[in-house]
Amino acid sequence: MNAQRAPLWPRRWSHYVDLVIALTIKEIKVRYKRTVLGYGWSLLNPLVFAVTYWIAFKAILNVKIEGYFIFLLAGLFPWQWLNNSLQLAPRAFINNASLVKKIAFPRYLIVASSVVTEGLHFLLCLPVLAALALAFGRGTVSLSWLWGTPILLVVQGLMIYGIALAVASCSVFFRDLERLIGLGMTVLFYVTPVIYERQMVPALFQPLIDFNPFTYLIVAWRALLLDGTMNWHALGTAALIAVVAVAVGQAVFDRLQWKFAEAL
Amino acid sequence: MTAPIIEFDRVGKTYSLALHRGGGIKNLILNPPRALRSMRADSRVVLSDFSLQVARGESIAVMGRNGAGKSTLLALIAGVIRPTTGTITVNGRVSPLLELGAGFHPELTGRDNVMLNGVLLGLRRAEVAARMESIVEFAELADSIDEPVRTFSTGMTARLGFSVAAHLDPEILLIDEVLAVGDTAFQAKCIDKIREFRRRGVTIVFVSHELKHVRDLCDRAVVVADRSAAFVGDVPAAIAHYADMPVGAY
Repeated sequence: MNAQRAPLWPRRWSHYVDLVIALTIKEIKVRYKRTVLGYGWSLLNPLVFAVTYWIAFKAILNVKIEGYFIFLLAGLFPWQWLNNSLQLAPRAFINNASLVKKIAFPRYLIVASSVVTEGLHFLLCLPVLAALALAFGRGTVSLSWLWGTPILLVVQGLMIYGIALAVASCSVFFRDLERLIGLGMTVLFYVTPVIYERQMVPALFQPLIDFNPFTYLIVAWRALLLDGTMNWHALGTAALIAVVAVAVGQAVFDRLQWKFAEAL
Repeated sequence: MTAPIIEFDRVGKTYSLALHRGGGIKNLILNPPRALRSMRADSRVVLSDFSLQVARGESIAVMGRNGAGKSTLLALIAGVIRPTTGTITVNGRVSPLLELGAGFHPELTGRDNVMLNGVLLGLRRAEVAARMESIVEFAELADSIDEPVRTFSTGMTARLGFSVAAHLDPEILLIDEVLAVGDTAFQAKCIDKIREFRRRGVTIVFVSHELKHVRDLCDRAVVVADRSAAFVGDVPAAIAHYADMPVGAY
């Protein structure tokens, strides 16, 4: 059944790194071609949403959360990373059809580089968050950021990668997935404690929130960014989900990737 | 004789047409048995029981009518698709020249695209950077290399694509009709480059309808017809066989 072959590709780690770098540079250059604001958009988006939510929920509904604006940003920045990555995932292979059809290379790196690109944007947002936190006197700029941020970056990156890889692979065959993801992410946003605190959720709905893998990421980020502490329970759960996500994503990809060139 | 560098052993390839049919998840949910059955039934056999051995350093032409399966053959060697039945063994680094400039992004500059393409085709970033000037020079695009590729003509894009491929270190070079574009002068340059690869002992699999190029560049030829290797042998005999095939034969 299977073709036996010598490695088509010099399978060295350093080469994979080069590929991810080259694909990431491509992503960034293509995205910001002919835009004026460039990376500024990844700042502006969450800021505009934060102001909107602040007006709706603080000024009008008078939600009881201290320093709500910074609270919102600490959730919206990581949310934007995972939301953008997953919204882009259905088109990852489709938009790169000519690469997938004509060149044999580890194609999952297309998805990886898209997650890295979004992750870099997120990373660039953090200093802004720190500056705003200082200005508004909410949250602490803490030394724990130095070790906490890389850990959470890796966990979130892996979780998104796993899910995105499965989504990207399936959507080559079922284009409906793009619509489903769009709808699903909108719903998920409200089922994830981004605009509210997890403790505020009534007991009846608590399982719904806890069943959502993204809850643990947002909870962990917020504890780190606002209080300078690591929520080990949330981190552990998120890490576990991330490992499962990568395993599932890679399995789905491995099953489907040989049909990509035919279906695209 | 040493082990062949490429070996097809009773290879079959069937394309499922269901992959191209609309309906998405809806049909699958509404009527799963029928959707699955129709998916299995809709298929087209492109190759069946195809066997071929290519020796190291050999240069072999693949001939056949449109739709005979020549490009499928190359895609199988490149590892972009997998056979449905049988096995393919490839014992070397493949440079697929399946389409010149495949994967070039129109918005990126020529230089950016060379970097991306070179890395995708197996070079390190540093290696591409070191060969950059030589690649640009070979493509004769020094003046426009920093412009977006969307401003290039088809011929210019093809030249740049060929130039990148010419600067790789393949053991097997797959060439699919790529000389059809580009002006005569550049074609001659490409032919020279392919000859140079040949002298260096690179194995070449060459798809072309241009009999002159086949005669010039190849030691042997395979005629693909009726989903398998209808003829394998020296180039003049293969050309004769190809010419004698009845019209409409597949």
